[in-house]
Amino acid sequence: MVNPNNPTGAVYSRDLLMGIVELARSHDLVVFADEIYDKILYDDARHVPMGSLADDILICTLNGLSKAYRVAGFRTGWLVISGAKHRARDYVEGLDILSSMRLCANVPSQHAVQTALGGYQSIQEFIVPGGRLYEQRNLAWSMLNDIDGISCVKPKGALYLFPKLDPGRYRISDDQRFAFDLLQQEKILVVQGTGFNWPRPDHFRIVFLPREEDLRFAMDRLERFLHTYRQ
Amino acid sequence: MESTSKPDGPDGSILELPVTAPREIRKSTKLADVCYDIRGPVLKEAQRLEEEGHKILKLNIGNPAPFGFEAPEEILVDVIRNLPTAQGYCDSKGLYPARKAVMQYCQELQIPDVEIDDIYIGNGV
Repeated sequence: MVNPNNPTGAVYSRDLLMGIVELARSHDLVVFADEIYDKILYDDARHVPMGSLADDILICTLNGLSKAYRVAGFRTGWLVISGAKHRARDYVEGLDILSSMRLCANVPSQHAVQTALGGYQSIQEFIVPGGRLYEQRNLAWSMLNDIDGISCVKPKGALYLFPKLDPGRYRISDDQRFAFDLLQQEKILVVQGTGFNWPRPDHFRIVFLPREEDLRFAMDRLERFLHTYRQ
Repeated sequence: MESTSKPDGPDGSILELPVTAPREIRKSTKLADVCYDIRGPVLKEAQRLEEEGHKILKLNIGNPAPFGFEAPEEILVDVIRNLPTAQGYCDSKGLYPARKAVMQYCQELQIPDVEIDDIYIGNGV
């Protein structure tokens, strides 16, 4: 469960997450919750931590400093085991073996964790109206939807948009080819939807991290490209 | 000393080894089903174009720093201050203060019953 989601930007409701918990309960599954974007939320979105929803199934929550604290290159993240730990003693022993075999994680950047998680959360400035992430999301989303044959859901969290290319219009049968052609013609690099195990070749992912002027430039080029592109 | 490039057989005769081309070194078959298109052939082409001098607008990965999203200074100061004493390996599950901070974060999030030993620090996403 990737929540907030990459690549769609969806932030799942408590009801939906409870449904996943129920599914895990009835099929005796372990839930892996990737919550790396838990603080990158827009509008009135609220993030519900998976680990807070159940104590009778095993939940492995993953998070780190790469996104909200902008130190992706520091390579610092963590895994938290919660819930039915008493049924997972052998699994935990495996984790202990693996973590011992790799000795330890990068040490200098672990000193950033305490400061990052405690006190003032600077990411807030970016995700409210007037903040870079908020404004860039709005701009990229509306420019994408202005292109004929593209539809895109407005992300409620994370850093990505996952637009759909109208299959009737563009007839894209190979979305890696689409990404390749867009790169060669317009010098814009995106990731094709099938790269995220999306089953049909009709989506791609873009990040809205660039500044507004660069996003505007990129969207104009994408529009120009799609004006004539067919497969 | 007599030098020879061929090994002697047990009876003193010279062994003739079959002449074959040097073995090609291949990746593990375990990698066959690995799906990681974010680092696939399209990225390779982007790198090739960059080497030719083209400027590529990279909308492909969520890497905040190159787009001017810099880390809070406080975080950098903490790492810099502790660098001299961060030269050795640490506990395999991570530094105690780092794990304690994660534990307290879990309390804030109302994830029940998380103890220090339930937390593993790794090399990030």
